[in-house]
Amino acid sequence: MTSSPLTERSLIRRRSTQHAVATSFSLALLAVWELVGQAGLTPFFPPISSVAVEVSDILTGPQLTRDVLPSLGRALIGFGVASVGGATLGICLGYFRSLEPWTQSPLEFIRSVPPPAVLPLAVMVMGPTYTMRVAVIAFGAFWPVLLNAISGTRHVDPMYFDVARTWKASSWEIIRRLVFPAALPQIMAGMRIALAIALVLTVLSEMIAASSGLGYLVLQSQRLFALDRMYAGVVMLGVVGWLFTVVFAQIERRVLVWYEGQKGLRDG
Amino acid sequence: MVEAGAIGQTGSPLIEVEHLSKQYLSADGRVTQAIGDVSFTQDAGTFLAVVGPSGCGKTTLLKCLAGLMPHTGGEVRYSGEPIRDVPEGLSIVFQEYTRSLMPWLDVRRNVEFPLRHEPRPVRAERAARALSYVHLEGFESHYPWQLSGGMQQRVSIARAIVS
Repeated sequence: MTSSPLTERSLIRRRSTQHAVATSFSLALLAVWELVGQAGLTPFFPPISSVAVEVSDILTGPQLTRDVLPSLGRALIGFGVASVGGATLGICLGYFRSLEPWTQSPLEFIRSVPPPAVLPLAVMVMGPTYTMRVAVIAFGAFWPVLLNAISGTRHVDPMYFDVARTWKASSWEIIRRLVFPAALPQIMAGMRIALAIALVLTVLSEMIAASSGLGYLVLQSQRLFALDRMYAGVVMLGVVGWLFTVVFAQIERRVLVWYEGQKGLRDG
Repeated sequence: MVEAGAIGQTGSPLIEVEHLSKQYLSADGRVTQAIGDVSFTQDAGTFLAVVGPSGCGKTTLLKCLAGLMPHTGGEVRYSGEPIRDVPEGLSIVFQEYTRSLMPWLDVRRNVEFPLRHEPRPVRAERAARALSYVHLEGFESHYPWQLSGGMQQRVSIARAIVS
């Protein structure tokens, strides 16, 4: 379908109108929060302005290096370990299908365990350490990557294996040059889910036997009834989650240029 | 398709096919006879075209000749040697060009794939030569899915002749 310049321009105009409406709606929500807080009807909703002051205090004070950065570090390291481990094991299990009868039942069981349930065990075995928290985060984030890697590997077009045989590719070459890139779109879809899980488990793992981190900050502030600071922690976690998603989407677009391009061509 | 001439300088014909047959076992347990009883010989430096209606087993025949599919009866020999796997020196231009080119590699890297163990300058030089042979100069950094079907098939031919 070809569109005349006129309709194209009106489309752009409609889109920018939508954008303006959406922005003003968000601002209106913040204004309502501020007004309710200022009115002082309830101590549970301090005005957003005092939360913002608290956020800037945290970001410029010692809590930046004590709570904020360690949380980000744990989340990212746990996510990284889960991604590399899940992709590696998933490709192996998907490619060497003879492993399936051995691994299926144990994996099915372990992945059914909600990750927070292993937290007390982890605290007991590994102690209240940085490594323990990273391990719990990695454990929870591991499964979506693993399952997507297995399925992505199984759905690699068998045609590529004929191509690989024609040019005498070794198993390692087939995995590195064919299976991995072909399964990557699905692996990255799993990683996107894993990223969200990693953040959830970061907060949770910092609420048990912890003395630092954003999760600790939120819980501790609630206990001390420092509600401005508690909200500041919640808001920062929201921003961190949003940033993770945006940055990951950018990386995904870069890495999977070929996939998006091909899909775009096919669908539209 | 078989690129003739690279092998078979000995006395025997390049390809000998004797009473080749191929049966498939379908999922419901029925047996499909894809190739009944085919025999022919093919000398080096000659062309052979296989013609027939769709579903008559042309692709199956080529896959058996290429060593990509085990046959169920008879024998295929390359230069007198019975084939087991894809023979050395054989190149294949796959029929399904949209599926056999790798969509994550650009045209140059697709063509260079068979040369992956060669040093980079050798790869670049031979890929450029193969691409000019099929008149695809200037499309090296396009992705296969950005090309027309015919152009993709030419990339596939370039990949087959590059080694």
